Amino acid sequence: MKSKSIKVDYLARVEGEGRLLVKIKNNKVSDVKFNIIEPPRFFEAFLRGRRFTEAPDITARICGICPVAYQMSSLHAMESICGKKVTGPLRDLRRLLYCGEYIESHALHIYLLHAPDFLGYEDAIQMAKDHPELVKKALRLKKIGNDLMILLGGREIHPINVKVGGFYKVPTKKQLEEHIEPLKWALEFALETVKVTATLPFPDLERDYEFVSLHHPEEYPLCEGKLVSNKGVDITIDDFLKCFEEEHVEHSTSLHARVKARGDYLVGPMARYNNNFDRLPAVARKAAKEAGLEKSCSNPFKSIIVRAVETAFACHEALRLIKKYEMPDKPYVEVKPRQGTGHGCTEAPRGILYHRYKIDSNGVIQDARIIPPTSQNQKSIEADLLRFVEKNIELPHDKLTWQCEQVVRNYDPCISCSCHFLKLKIERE
Amino acid sequence: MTSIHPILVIGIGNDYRRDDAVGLYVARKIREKDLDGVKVIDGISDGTSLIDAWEHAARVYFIDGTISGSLAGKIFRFDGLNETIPHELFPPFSTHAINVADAVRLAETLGQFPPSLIIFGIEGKNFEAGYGLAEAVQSAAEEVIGRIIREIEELGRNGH
Repeated sequence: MKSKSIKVDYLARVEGEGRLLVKIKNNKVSDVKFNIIEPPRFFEAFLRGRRFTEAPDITARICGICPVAYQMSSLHAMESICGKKVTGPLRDLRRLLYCGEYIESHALHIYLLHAPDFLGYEDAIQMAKDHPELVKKALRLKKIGNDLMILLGGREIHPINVKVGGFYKVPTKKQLEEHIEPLKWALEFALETVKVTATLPFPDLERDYEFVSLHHPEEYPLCEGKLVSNKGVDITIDDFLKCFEEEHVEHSTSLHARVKARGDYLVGPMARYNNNFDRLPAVARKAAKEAGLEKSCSNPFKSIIVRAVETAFACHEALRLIKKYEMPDKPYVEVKPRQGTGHGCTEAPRGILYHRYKIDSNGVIQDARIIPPTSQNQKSIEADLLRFVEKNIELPHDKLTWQCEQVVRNYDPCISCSCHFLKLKIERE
Repeated sequence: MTSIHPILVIGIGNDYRRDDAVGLYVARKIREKDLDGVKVIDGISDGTSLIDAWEHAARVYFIDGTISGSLAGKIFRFDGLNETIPHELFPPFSTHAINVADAVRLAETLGQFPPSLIIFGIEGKNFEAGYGLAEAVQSAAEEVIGRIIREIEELGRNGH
């Protein structure tokens, strides 16, 4: 009996801590476990007894990379309970803040976390030795996203300027216009990034994914829309828990989500792209086409190109929003609490982030439920690994281990959000 | 103090993970002193933001919690330009997707170092969810605050 084990005890370049175990018996994969080992964070319990207005600031603390997503999902849930809808320039500013988070998060992942995998570098530092100008540009791109977040969110990390009903303070048109020239540069570099990423060597891996994302009638989805999939999901976000469920698995402190009727599904850039290609601006669609991406993409390694396309979208969208901006008279609309249950689901850079809250008539949170994108992708990550190892079982141990890590990083997993972390081990027996 | 070049104090960590907040604590206490020519940043989203932050600073003090297995409250001080920072001191799975040691190496590779970079690490004991520093960590934080302020004042007196 031939046995083999591949072990990576600490998987670098993912946010949070996790471990991966792949068992191979008689040259066949016998088990794959995506094992999240960071203690659960109990944020849902922290929220009980707090004011409904506190949810955006508390949940922003769940993640240093995508705090805006947490804020947006909680805001939408609370406003839906209270029967308020934020429109006009305040809605546009929220979308602009989200564009800042996309630019920052995608630039970080594409160049500093994911590209080194494809180019055979141990990390971004090694890559920077050979490609210093590219890495400098990547840092500049990331900073342009950061700067938008600082302006609208009040500070770079865990923004404090958003509130239920709008913002504490809104920028002047002049303040926003100062970002136009940097964003024009960012758009050009994002388009260059689409070209650069398209030349990377992509391992062969395709699966029949169920892509789940928001879908909006007019725009590439960030904050609003129905939940759809390429396999028939078409629901309002209020029905999220009717369609999806979470299960506890022994090897992970993060719950695994599944489509009740079918099983694993994929959220994030690939899902958004596949479900919303027609909603991308022409410049992003053209760049995708020239990069060889079809309207549909099922190779998860190519998610790096999709992220570049989405970065171009975010820069283009930010410019559009800034140009049309007129400063509102008031930075927020009044939102009075009322008893009820509400749902919020927005597109974090890593995929849909669902929040549900129950509040009483005084606005005190009675119950909270948060389902982050990485929880939703865990089953899909395991399925990708299973397929990838089966197809590449004869690869040398080191190369197989390296590429398994890459499979995980395709998802840009934010493990500290999902529980919330990764170590990789492949055992052959 | 008015003649000194801009000094940047950066503390990072997580307020809700007990001793992980020590860098933030030190930075905020120094901010309260309102020293001339001193800018304080408490919290960044990841290591690469450090490179942005220190772009225009003449001297940078950086403070973070460490996990080396030493006794809680042990203070580490490194000259970032002339000493190698042990990678394992700063937790790679912190909220900082590119950690401090990596950010320093990246800045060095790209030639984007500030003229002077002093790194303080304070050994933590408890990084569980919750508030408040362990007693030994709090004492170490007060000592680091005093040392940084004395160094800044010394620089001022010497007209740097």
